[in-house]
Amino acid sequence: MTLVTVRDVWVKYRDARDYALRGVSLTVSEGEVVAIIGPTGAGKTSLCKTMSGIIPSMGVYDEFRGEVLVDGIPTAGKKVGEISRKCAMVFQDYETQLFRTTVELEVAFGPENLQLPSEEIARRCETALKLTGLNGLEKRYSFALSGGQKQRLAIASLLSLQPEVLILDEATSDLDPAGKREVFEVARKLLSEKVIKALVLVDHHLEKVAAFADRVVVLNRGEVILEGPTNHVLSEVELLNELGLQPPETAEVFRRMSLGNKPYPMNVDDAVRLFPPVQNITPPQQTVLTHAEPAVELEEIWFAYEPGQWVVNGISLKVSKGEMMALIGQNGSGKTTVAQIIAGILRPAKGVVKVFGKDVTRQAVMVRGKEVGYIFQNPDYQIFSRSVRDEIAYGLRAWGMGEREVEERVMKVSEMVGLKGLLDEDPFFLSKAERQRTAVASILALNPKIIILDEPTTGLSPGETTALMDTVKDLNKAGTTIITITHDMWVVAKYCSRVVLMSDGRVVLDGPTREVFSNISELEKYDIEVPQVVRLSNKLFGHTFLTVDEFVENVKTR
Amino acid sequence: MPQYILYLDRNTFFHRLDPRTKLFLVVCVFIWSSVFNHPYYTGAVLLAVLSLVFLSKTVRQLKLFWFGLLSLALMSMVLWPLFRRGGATVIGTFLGASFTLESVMYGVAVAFRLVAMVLSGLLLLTTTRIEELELAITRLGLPYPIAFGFSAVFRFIPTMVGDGLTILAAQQARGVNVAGGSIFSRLKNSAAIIAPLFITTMRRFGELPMAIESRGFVPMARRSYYLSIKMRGVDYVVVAVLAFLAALSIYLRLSGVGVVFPDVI
Repeated sequence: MTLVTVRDVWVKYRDARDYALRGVSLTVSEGEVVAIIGPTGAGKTSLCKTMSGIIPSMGVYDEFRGEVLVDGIPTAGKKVGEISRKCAMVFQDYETQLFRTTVELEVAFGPENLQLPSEEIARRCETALKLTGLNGLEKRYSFALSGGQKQRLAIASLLSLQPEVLILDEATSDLDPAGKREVFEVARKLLSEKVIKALVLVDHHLEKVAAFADRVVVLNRGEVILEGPTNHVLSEVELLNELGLQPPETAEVFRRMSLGNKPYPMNVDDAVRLFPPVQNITPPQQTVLTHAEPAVELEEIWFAYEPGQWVVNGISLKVSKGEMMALIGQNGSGKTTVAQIIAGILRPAKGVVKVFGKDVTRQAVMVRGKEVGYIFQNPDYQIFSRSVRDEIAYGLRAWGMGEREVEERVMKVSEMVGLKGLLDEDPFFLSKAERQRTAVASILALNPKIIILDEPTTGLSPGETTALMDTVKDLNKAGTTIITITHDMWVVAKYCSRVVLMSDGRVVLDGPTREVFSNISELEKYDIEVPQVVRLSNKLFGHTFLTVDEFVENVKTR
Repeated sequence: MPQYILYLDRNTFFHRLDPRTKLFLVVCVFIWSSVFNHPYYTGAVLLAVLSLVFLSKTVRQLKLFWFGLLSLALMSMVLWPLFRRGGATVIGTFLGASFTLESVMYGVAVAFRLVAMVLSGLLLLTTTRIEELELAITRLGLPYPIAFGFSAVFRFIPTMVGDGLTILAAQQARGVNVAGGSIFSRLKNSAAIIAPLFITTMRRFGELPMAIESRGFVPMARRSYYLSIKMRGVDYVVVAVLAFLAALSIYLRLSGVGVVFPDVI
């Protein structure tokens, strides 16, 4: 049975240059998981909003054409509140979807609108919270939850409506790999237990899409350019790469080595089974970490937000000059706290912080800012100027630098991050990726010797991520020390020479990326999922190749 | 993370009262402290409110406010004697202006009045969930969207404070000096905090209607409530006592009791 029908829908936002959707048609049937993928600006969110009735009834549009049926009933003229009871959408920016004080009341809001009696509301709350693993937190304030918990709460607050169709619009972007998997598993379970009847998900993580979706729809520039069973669509490696998406690495390996025909294997087990005999392998070289003089030294650092609850438990860590290090670990493991202690944003309760050999433990963040640059996850927390140029120049002017030199630096940095053509634009109207670049540029302009990036790629497509990280890598090659916090293990594998894994405020693994990543079973204990190609090469040959490039170059089949 | 939600989950007599009763108490505090302008009388009102704060065990919860309330009181005590002239008992001259005992007493009375008013509002918020208040307002006959708007403002204070602190850290990390320099540069630098906070908040509030409706909410439609509030016997008794005291206070004022200056509020 068809639950959602989208028929030839055209959407143009007020004053937009172009259509967001151009003649999109799509059906979602009972029992199905449909994934919508595409580069930034392809129209994925617009399509989701159309299905949940937000477009065209909320917001302003120059044009809306076409027809949308939810459960056989046209959405035209219906209120969002009525449609959302059948087809509910978890927003990409889940924070906006939380507006009550406690977890329990947040989940109760939906059923209240259905005019259910309070015993039924209580029952639904319990179910929704159990399904999302939030039971036990009923009385907690929703704004005091971690990012991952908030995202699950947003999902729970829609589940309590018991919709037929659930739409997850990049609803797992802030979760660690384990959290992502949990959410998808929850969604799958809901489907198999017939709590919901169909699931629509938008996600950049195509390995996850491969594992959970039945059908994939590829959007580009507001049009459906490809649609079909998951393994067929995700085998179109060239097309996906061209769009800046990242096909599953197993598919990419098979495609690039011309092994067999489409559809290619989507997971490591299938790939191992189908991999042909090997002629020879050039084993990877062991990476040796530089032991240059230290850029950052942490000695026995302790930190707590609330007395007695240590978030950082006596960490000691040395980062050498010119290193590019990844700080990984689950949500809540203390990564950001450690990074902010290094930057001087937080002060440790005990311990010593040294930057380039100098004790800076008691030094204010502003003084340290000249040596340590910190790039926050959300660029909107930094941007306030009316043009990209002024934004980048701000810190330099604050230092009292001459206008000519400022202009020189702005030009240099904007070229480096690819913002040269946008210098006179108002950052407010730029895309998230462009705003992220602006924030990065404004820090780079200050020419810090150490740069800390706190999940800089959240919400960026793989293509945008690569572009950003390439820039960072160039800086690293020029001598800047880089510390990056990330959940994207492929970013770690591709760019970082060293990995530090944190858990419960302690360092549990520390070493060259190849060495740490080869320890797959140990990493699994901390819910870290290494890239597919790492698992594949380990299973096949007992070697660790970090990237598809490395794999393809060093493995020759007969 | 510091607490920016005032509500403190305790099981005291005052907590258990219906939110409507507590709202009525706030109204009564406003009436009592407004009808009198003699410090003994407004002082008695303030004392009553203070004892309720103690009884509801929320003194510590209000620790952020004591300094502000004290400043408010001091300001009133200093400023009113300058502006509220009149009275016969001159107690001193300062820079050519003479001060009377009456105007000083009036200043103290208004100080007590203001603190009592603000404190009663805070008392309501520390002992009542925002959602309960929202429900109380709907039960009193106001449309739900208005009640929701009221509660949303309080709900987003902690979020805004959190945003503000992150923005402050983010800007300091890039060399924005908010605390030092000349007045002019301080003003300019504070824009670095205010502008992103404003934009972040506007984005959030801009998406709020969409977020609410996405959760099955239909404006002006009927809805049920998970929390329940109920006026019990004790609530009716409290309301009756409060109403009696309010009427009594008005009667006293009309009879000229409890005032320093009879012809002003």
